[in-house]
Amino acid sequence: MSDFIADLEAELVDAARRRTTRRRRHVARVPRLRPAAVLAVVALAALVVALIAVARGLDNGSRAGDERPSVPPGPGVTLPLPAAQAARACPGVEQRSQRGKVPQSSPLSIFARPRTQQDALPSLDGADSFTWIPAGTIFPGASRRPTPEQFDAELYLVSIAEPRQGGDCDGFLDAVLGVCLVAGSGDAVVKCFSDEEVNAGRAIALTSPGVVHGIAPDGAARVTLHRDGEAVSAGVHENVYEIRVPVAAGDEIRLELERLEECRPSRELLEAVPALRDGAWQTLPAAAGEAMPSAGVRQWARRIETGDELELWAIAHCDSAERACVVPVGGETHEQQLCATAADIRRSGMTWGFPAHGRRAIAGLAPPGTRRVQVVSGGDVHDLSLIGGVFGGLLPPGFAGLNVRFS
Amino acid sequence: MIDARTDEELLAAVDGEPEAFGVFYGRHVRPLLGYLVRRAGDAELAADLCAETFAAALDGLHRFDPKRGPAVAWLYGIARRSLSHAARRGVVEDRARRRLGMAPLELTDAALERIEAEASEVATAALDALPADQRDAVRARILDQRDYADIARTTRTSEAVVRKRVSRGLAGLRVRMKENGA
Repeated sequence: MSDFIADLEAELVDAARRRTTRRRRHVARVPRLRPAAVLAVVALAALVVALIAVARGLDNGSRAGDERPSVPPGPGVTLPLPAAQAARACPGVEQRSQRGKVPQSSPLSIFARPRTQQDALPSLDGADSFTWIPAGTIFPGASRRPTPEQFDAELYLVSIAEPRQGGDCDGFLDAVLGVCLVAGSGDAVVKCFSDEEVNAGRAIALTSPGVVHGIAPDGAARVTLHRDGEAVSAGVHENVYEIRVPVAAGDEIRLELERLEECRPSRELLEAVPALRDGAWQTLPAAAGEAMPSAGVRQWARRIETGDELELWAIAHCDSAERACVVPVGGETHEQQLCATAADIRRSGMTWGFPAHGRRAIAGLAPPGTRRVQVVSGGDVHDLSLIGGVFGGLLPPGFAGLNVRFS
Repeated sequence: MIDARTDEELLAAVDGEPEAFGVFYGRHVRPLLGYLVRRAGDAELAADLCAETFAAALDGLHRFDPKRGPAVAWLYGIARRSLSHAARRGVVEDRARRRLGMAPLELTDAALERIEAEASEVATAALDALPADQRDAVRARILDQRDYADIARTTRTSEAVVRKRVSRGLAGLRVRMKENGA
């Protein structure tokens, strides 16, 4: 039996178990309602949605196309400040240590950047595993140390699943994905959050007297902590922030996240897609703008001429994990787009086939260093236009498939 | 030990017995991989599609209705949609795996070679062992997703006959898979 078949079976059965656990918990938690009560709840929810939509329309009608949903809008969130816990090993506690790419319901861009040696989680004195991270599943290969020069404390983020509630060794495992924040090394403290908490801007903890650390979702540039009428702000660096404020665990605080007003492609993305380096930025056509899943960043869009009737737009997209996108304009399919992270492009490039002008067309992002892109169909070869890593063009009649050759 | 339950019974049992999905997987993974290797022409792509197909099946179990057809046809329908999505977009979707919190699997060159060799051999062997009329009917209906009327037209038989051949062919495949220990 090949390893793949056995490994996939193990993954699927584990997923089936998690699914069963979730469903049982869900069933246990949801009270049974009478039909009349269900109707009342649905009506109330519809009313709330309508009121929110009206309020947002009045408040912000012209900004709808530029929202980044990963940053919560409005006046922020109020919560009692939780404290991180001293890291301590849990001998005998079962913990799955998963290698490979991390599944994340909402990726943080810090995990998308290449991993270096200094990103490795420190080892805890006396612990031969990572059971001191309070989670049922840990992805140790996906730890990152956010920009050290920006923080006084030694910080690490690590992706996990099934955080242990309360952080205790015998804590109940919550069937969700999440991230743990580790502060310090020898006498480290740790606090885990679900992805939902991170996305809602609620991932914060007191890590030492008078110091709080938090994890901010992509798109957040600055965080302001309010307490007793005072406000202290700090910048977000690689999804993490540090605030020095006289505050104690349990104090009620309010957090406001400020959205990043401008998206500049990272060096990694610019290296993967040189077309995004040039400064001849143009306004994205409305049709192409609508094709983006949410806010594209208009000043970082560039038109690529393919030499035939097909026009491509290369866009740096900062909505969640930073990606480069290609949108064709002039065909019938500008509602679609292809996006890829720098890592995906480096690994194998991305190719996408679609109909345009009654023919088949191909577009994509070539791996760095590519000098020529060709489509092969039967014994025929057709060269595609390649500019700054973005390639594409209409295919001659009779060409089929996506057999693209990079050289 | 051989599990005597039908595919449909296994899927119905998953909510209370997650391991039942492992039995269903074991019965179908090799033939499905063989099908995907042949259609995609690339073992790595096929493995990716195979993982997403089973994940989508697990994630969408509530959508499976045995009254609308056998579980294996439903599974191949998902695979075919994944293939078509990958051909259109040039990438394999991983939505179901992400929803289920599954880690991507790392494939070595050796594993890819084994997939190519094993998967297609098993699928071909199981299908080839069927009588010709059943094998052709199963290929046309399950692998190529053609409708019964269309198959009946090209084979110059009635729809009822095609249905019977598909049904017998699938039953034969099930028996062979169980005999192989799945």
